[in-house]
Amino acid sequence: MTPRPQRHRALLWHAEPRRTAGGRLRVLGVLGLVAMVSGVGAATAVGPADATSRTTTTTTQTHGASPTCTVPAHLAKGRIVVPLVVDFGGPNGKVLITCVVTTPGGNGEQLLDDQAARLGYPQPSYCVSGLLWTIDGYPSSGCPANPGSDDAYWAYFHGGTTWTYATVGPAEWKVSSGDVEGWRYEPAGKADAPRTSSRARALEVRAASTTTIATTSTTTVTTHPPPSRSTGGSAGPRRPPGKSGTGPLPFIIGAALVLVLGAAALVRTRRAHLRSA
Amino acid sequence: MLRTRLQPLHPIAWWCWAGALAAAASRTTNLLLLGLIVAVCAWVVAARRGNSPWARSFGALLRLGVFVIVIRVVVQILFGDRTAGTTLFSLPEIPLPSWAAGVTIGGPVTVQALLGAASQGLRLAAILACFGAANSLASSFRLLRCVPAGLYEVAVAVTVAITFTPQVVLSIARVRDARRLRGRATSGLRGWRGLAVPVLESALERSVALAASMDARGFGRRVTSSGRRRATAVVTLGGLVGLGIGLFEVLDSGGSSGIGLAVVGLGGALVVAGLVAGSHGPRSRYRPDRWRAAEWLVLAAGLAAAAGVVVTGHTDPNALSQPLYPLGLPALPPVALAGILLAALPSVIAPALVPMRATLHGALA
Repeated sequence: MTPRPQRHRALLWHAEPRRTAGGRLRVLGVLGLVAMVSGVGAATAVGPADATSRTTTTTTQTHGASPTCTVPAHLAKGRIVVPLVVDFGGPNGKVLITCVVTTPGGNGEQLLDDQAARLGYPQPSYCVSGLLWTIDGYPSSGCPANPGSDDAYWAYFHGGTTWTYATVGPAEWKVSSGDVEGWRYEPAGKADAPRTSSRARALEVRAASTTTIATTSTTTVTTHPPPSRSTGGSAGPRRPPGKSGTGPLPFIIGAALVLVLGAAALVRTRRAHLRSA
Repeated sequence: MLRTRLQPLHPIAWWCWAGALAAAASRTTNLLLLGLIVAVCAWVVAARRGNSPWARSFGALLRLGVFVIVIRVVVQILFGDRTAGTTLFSLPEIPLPSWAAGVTIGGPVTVQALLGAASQGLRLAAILACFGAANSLASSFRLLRCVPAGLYEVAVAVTVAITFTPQVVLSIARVRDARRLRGRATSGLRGWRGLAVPVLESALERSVALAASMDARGFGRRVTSSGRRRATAVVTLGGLVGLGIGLFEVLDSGGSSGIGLAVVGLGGALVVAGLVAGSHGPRSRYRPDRWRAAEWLVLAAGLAAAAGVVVTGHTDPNALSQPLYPLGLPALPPVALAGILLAALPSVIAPALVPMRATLHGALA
């Protein structure tokens, strides 16, 4: 039997990057009023069932798990190159490894933004609760209205010699030289470390010409071609599906309905009040 | 079919209608849908509430809802999760030790964080509005008469739970009048300071006193052996606890978990068994509330709203949440819209209450 990760529900908000902070907040925010309304809406942001801080079941995180980027000689002063591993999870998931040029003190969130902008994928998106939900457009379903209903989430790791489950969210993590950032989509709510194949360990910052860095003055560089785990890989980055906006008309109709109904209710109440007075 | 009748709608029908609307509200953060749910509640309350003192519960709970939204947004600004997005302004950040990871004080405040907090606050406010609508529309005293005999053992708790909100509304009016007569402030912060403690105290006391007087009059007492009574009480209570846990699981996961549905079924079966077993014995009711066509229709109207939102959650889950990344206008999913609008029908279906004063005047004239 494979060792199962221990459950640490009480400690989850320590171990988890984004999820439970929102949950705690919401509990604070409603100030115990939830008791009156039978707790609806209070506990939607529970963490994945099997998330633990450092225990994982996979064997991928032995020594030398994290990839490294070759720092180009012409790198501008005060800049660092941080390898960013995005593992799309599942048996056929792709693993995308990018070398992102940033400044020390930039946070993990900016790294993700930069990577998506450079590769032309949609920017990462977050749920209403603040939970990070999509990276590079994956998963495409968007954030569910009730994030707690699904155990799937993006697990956040810091690399080096081994992968370490992050204790703070990407917005609060300041990257420094030598850091490796890792993300893995966990469809079953586990806390498995990102997978990196041996050939992806040493990356070169290839397309980083001096001019690119100088003009953009913030970011990146190039990607390693995404090594697909097998043919027909299902989990992977998604391009945005064209323009899907329907314009403001539905919103105007809906808002008008709300206003008309509300105003009618107000008028009717006033009238009844006058009649009885 | 729906001829005028003197008897008001069955209180349980109103509570089921409001509960279904609240379930619909709990599944969405879409500002339009939540606004529609509140507007539908307001419209039905305006059309069908009586002029009883507790009919003012709706207004009181709407105000409480606004307070909840404000608190939620303020807490988000001060201690909220630092979410990504367009920064509006930044508060000075207080660094916390590493064991407090996940908690932040101050920091950048984004448009997305504010909008997300406001929509979550509005969701809770909409649930409170549904609760207020049920309190305004259904007489809590008539509801108490429907409490089955199987719940006799918890009669005090049930009475306090059911009558607490109307009693709060009543005692706010009473304490305000008393303060006004003494020339003290009735509004603003000072007014609220003087109001809060006496209101809460007297509302709870009156609820407990009501429960005690009902107990003294043998309300809900059954004529059965104590052993059987205890057994049915255990079965009923166990079923209620199971029903609560199961409903929580189902609402939380959107019906995707089989365990939740199974627990709801088991709990429901236990409750029914307990109530049926406990209902034996001679017990008469004075002018019992009847469950007729209008009650079924009001129940169906409430369920239509819940079904509309749940169906939309399966076909188009994105439409149920406020779009934040990228920022956008909330969608107007047609199925959910139709369901919620159907829930406004009780303003026509339910029998209109004859205003008390009108009948009095009529009798005196």
